[in-house]
Amino acid sequence: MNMPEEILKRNNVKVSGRGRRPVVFAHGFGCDQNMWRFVAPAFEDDYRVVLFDYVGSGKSDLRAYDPKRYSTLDGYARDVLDVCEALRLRDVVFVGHSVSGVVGLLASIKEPGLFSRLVLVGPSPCYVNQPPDYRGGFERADIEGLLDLMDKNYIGWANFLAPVVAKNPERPELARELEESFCSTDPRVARRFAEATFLADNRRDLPKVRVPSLIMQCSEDAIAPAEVGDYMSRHLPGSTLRVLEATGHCPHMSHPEETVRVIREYLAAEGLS
Amino acid sequence: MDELLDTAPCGFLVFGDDGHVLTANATLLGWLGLGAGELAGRHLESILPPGGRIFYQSYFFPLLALHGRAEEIYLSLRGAGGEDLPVLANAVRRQSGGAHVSECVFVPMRQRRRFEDELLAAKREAEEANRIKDALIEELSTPVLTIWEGVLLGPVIGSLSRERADLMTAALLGAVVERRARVVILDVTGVRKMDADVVRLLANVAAAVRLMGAECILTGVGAGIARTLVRSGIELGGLEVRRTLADGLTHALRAARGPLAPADGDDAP
Repeated sequence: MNMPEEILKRNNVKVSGRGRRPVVFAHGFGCDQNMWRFVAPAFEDDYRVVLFDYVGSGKSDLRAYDPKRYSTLDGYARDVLDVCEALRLRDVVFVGHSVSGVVGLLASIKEPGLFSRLVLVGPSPCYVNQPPDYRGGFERADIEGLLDLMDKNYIGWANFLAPVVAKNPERPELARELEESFCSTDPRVARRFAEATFLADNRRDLPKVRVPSLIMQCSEDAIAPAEVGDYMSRHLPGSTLRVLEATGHCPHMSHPEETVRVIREYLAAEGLS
Repeated sequence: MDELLDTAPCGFLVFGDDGHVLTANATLLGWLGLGAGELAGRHLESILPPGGRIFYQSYFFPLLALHGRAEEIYLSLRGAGGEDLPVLANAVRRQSGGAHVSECVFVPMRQRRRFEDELLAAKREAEEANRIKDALIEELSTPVLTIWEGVLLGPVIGSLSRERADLMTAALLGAVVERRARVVILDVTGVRKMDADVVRLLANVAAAVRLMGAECILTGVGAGIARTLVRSGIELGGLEVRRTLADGLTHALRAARGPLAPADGDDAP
């Protein structure tokens, strides 16, 4: 079993804030905890704010990456539980963007007593259309298109820049360049995360959830369209659906004020402010 | 829009944080088969294939929002007729009248993409070839030969790591069951370096073989190895040790011809 300090290092956990109730922010596919940069500080006055990177993302410890564990979303849910356990958190408000919505649901099914509320920003239980009656918005070929695009974009740096960085530790500006060019660290890791995310079907897990939740549905979201939000709210017990004015799939980056306001309003209404 | 920019030999596009296109130049509209003003007001995603929309939301926009710029990003743009145009994109995000806008330049790269497709295919082929090679080496590194009715030979050549010892154990145990072997000879004549670690690994292999009800003989043990065995103090109880493979073989044939002994050897008939 891993020691708490090891987990905190492994998942690059950052704790801030002056409140007691913990809010854990979990990033989605593609980037890392930096995605919460415009939202998390707004909770520091009243909450204990916890940020982390999934193993394989951001500044997590890549040596802890286990291809088998992270080939399904259960492995990522394990990360959430590990982090909560390492910090001995209780009554956690979990805020997950995109795929982290489902990751949070899975974590709450395993440890329902750990969470007080789940806030799901642009969640989808299944991205690929499942005829005849479920429309996730994508065909399998579309996901192949995404994987292809990722491969192509990694040609530019991973194959050429990464070895250069590794060989030149005395030149940190190279590492910075690599870091800024892409959020993720390793193309194989990112690819496996993409597959775990976009080929998953967690529709059957929705009814198992016992923790009340807020579904934040963006307008004009091509990745988690409105009908997916409706599906979630119909099948997720104890869920509240809020449709945001924010468009796109990253309201925490494009419309941080509204994102903060809606989360705060929900927590206030639930008596958790 | 500046007249020069409108017809410059690159696509140019301005969009807001909400993804809506504010303006696009004539060059880009021409590539996409769109008329003047047909793109303004629409979402940027309307000119991306579905996989590209995920990519835009997961990487492209977060990069712009976090770093203010994105460089050398490969994208496919989807034209009005459904055809895809591979492009390289550079973009910067800045404040404009109280809101953020991103300015983006596209350069088509059909030729280069073909080259990179080939590069990627070659990379995948190399990875597959490597996988086959590894599997072959794994197979070759753990041969199990039937040299007589009921007698198996497991020659150990080169160096012995824990991984290889595990593979060897698995191969030997499978063969003992499958070929109803009574004796297994582990020949270490070809082992490059015999230290306490290797002796310990061999003792483990032998113990597993004995658990399956077969006798295990260690052969090819010269004076140097014998010293290591003694010095390491590892328990070799029940493990027959012979100096040469020929000595071991003689012993094995005698043992194999004899009555079948159960694993513990206590109640043999």
